[in-house]
Formats: sequence, structure tokens, C-alpha cells
Amino acid sequence: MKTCQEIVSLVTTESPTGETMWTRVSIGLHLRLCTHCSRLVRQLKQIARISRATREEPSPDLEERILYRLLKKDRLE
Amino acid sequence: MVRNPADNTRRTTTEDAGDGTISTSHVPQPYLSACDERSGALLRDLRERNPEALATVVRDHTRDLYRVAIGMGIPAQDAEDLVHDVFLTFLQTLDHFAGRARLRTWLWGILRNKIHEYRHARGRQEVELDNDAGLDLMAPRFDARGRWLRPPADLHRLLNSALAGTAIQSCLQRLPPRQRLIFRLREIEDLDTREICTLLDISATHCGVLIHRARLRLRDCLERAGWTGNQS
Ligand SMILES: [Zn+2]
Repeated sequence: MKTCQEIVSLVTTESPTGETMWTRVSIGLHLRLCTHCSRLVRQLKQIARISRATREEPSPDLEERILYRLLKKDRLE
Repeated sequence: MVRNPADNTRRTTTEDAGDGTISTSHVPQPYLSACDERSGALLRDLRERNPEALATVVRDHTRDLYRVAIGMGIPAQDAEDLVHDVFLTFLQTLDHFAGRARLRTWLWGILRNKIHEYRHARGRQEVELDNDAGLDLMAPRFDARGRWLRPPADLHRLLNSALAGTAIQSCLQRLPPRQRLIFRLREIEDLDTREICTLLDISATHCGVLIHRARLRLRDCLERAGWTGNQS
């Protein structure tokens, strides 16, 4: 059995190799049973979602503007 | 250079560019062999200054380059110029590229240099090492057996408030610079972790740990901001 501390560390750290099947299963099981850890995970997901919503999108014609500048420059050379 | 037999079929790039679609996908594409097959023909077309080929490259990569620039703290009013300069340098150095690297990686490398030059020109410092490298933020919240001593408080009131975004932004400002950078690139700009590590020139393991710290530190800041409780 993994402790709550281990679970928190596992769900927030991004392992380069990814988690094993067994680890993923035990995380899922723990989160279903533990209100504290599942609350934390829920909050972190919510924080990520809200912060993504604050992102300022570039204007839709960004690509075309850059392309226009590049092609204009090419013609002058 | 190893010639891919598929290079002979040079139709792919220009046809793809013809449909006028703009790729807005910011999900990193796996390194498919299809990219290799296309890159030879694409490179030839670029050398010949084929506008369709240039359009393909610009449409495929602009949005992600822009996101990286913003995520790296370049102000929006300068980010567009910076991305334009990336393509300009790319065209000037086509012969060095020669299809050796994945196009995306190559462009990101140029962008990295541009950001470096940008910061240098404005006398800004590079992102510092974290000052809390050894500190485990969560440790005091657990007992010796790894059980919660101080469980996470309810953030319902904050997270469902119209001010949630503002509160998060203000807590983000208080993160150590590198954690803030990684959080922005990973969670806000939604970039792939491996690509972020390469961009910042840190190991994948360290990168994963920094993301872990950033997420928990940001949450901790929100909890301490006094927004706890579930009454509205
Ligand atoms: Zn738990």
C-alpha cells in the first residue's frame, strides 16, 4: 500500500518514463478511497483548467501576417 | 545526407498547403516517419523559395512558437516579431538544417536563441536556478508514516469564484522564476513536458520535479490567501 504522501508525489510529478500499470491502478484505487488525496487532485486539475482559461490567444491571422512579412521581404531581396 | 526513397514523391507538401487550413494543433505530434518523408521535398521547395512550402511551415509552427515565446515571458507585443525572426533565420540557415533534425525541434532551437538574444539586449537576466531546490513543501503536511497531518483545505469558494483566474495569476507571480516558467509552459500553454525540458535544457527528471513543486506551491499559495471554505 502506498501512503498518502507517496500518492501526492506520484500524481503531481511527471515521470519521464510514465507510471507502470500497477502504479496507475494503485493510484486510482487510493484516490477512490481517500477523500484528502482525491480532493487535492481535483483542486490541482481545477487550478490547471482555470489558469489555462486565462491564456491570451494570439490573433487568428497571426500566421498570415507573419507569412505576408516573410514573402514581402523575399521579394525585396 | 541519407536520401529517403520517398523524397521522390514531392507532391505531398504543396498539396497539403493548398487546402488553406491552419494547423492550430498544439498537441505535440509524435515523430512519425511521414514527417521524414516530407521533409526532403519540403526542404527542396523552401530552397527554391516556393511560397506554398513556406506557407506550410509557417502555418504548422507559428502558433506553438508563439505560445513558447509567451510562456517564456516575452511580452505579447514582441512575440510576433520574435516568431517572424525565427522563420527569417530558418530560411537563411536552410543549408545547416538539411533535414538532420526534426523541423519542429530545429525551429524551437532557433527560438531559444532568439529569446536569449532578446533578454540579453534588454539587460534581462536568464531564468535563475530555484532558490528552494531542496525544500519539500508538502513534508510538514504529513506524519512520519506518510499520513495527512494537515489535509488540503477546501478551495471550493475560490475555485468557483469569478476572481479565480486573478488569484491564480497573482500566486503564479510569487513562484520561483523557473517553476513559474514551467507551470506556464506546461499548464497554461499546454506544451509537452519533454519539449519543455529540451527548451530549458534540463533533464526530464528534474523537469518533472519542478512541475510537481510548481503545482503544489501554487495550490499552497491559494490556500494561504484565505479563500478556504465552501460557503459562498
Ligand atoms: Zn490519501
